[in-house]
Amino acid sequence: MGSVFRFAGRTPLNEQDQADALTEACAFLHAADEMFSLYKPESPLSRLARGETKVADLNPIVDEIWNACEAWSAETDGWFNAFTPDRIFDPSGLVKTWAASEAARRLLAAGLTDFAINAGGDVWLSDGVTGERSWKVGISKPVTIASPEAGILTVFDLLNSTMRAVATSGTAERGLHIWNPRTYEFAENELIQVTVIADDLVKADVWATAAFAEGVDAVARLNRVPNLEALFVLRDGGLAGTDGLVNYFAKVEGE
Amino acid sequence: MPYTTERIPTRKKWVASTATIALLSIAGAIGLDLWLTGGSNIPGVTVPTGKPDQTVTGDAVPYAYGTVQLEVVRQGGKLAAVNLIQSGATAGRGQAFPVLQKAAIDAQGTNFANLSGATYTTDAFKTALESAISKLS
Repeated sequence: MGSVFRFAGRTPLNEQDQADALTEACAFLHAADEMFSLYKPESPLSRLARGETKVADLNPIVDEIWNACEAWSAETDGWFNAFTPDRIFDPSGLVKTWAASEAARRLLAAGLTDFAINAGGDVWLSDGVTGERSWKVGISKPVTIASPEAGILTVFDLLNSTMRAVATSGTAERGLHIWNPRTYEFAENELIQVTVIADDLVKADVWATAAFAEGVDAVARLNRVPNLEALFVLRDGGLAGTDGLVNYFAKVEGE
Repeated sequence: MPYTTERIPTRKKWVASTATIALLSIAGAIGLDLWLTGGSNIPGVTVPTGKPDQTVTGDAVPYAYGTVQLEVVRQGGKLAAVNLIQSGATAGRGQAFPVLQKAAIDAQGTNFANLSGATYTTDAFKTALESAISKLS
């Protein structure tokens, strides 16, 4: 299985230019996958993991991602960590949204201004998104969508705010896949899902991962991060959130 | 809930997707964008072209972690959009943080254009798309 990237929006471009822009963005995503996949035995990252090569000999993008991971690890006080319990460099917690952001940059450069990207459940909106509904982002319940309880937990509205991204981390779809970077064990705490709203997609993604690893104590930490709010779903079904979160719940139409 | 975009008269709606073939990884080889913008050429699936505008919904396709159901729109004889259909909302539970619970539940009935949280897999997405396209007459 793998993540699905979806682009949706409105275009001022003619059909050919539109197709070219999307083709370039998708080609970039494919190239990034070839580079960073740990599920492809011959990818540069897989060879790095086996000790067959070193970062200095790889595409400089790998070094850039390595540095970004270290910076985010410092920023999150160690709660984001791109090294697995086996001490393998696995930047997949960042690469998906980094690549989505780069694809977005290419579409913007091509003249598209009004679009959204959904990168396997992490959502980014461009500044020029039009249509009130396009600014609203639904959040899945923290159960696998195979469950009869599956549905929408809530809806956030990013209209007229600085927020452009929504990222969700949890165990519902992939089981335990986030480890506690301090104990190098899989994170099993009182949380089952964390959704982060932020002004940047990678920032939202990284903090969602970090907060999920830390547990509900991360609320206090996230309250100190500018342009970021978070919704925590506890195992018992309870919710917790950052101080400003209530401002982002969507209002039902007609109210 | 339908996963659609409003029509703006002066601008064309576009939707594209690409999918990965690797867990926890990015991008991949399917290139739905090309199917859409190129108009056809999905392996094993023929989009009936040159036919009237039509919107149809495919079967809900189960996979290991859930179901995927898609709606496809044909306009001007070509595939114009693929919309993701989501299951409906039910009430949340828990009392731990009543203010948040109420705000969260109050917001549930709102229409939205994007969904955060679920991860859709390549195979299920492709099968769901094939199902929807096969229903175009």
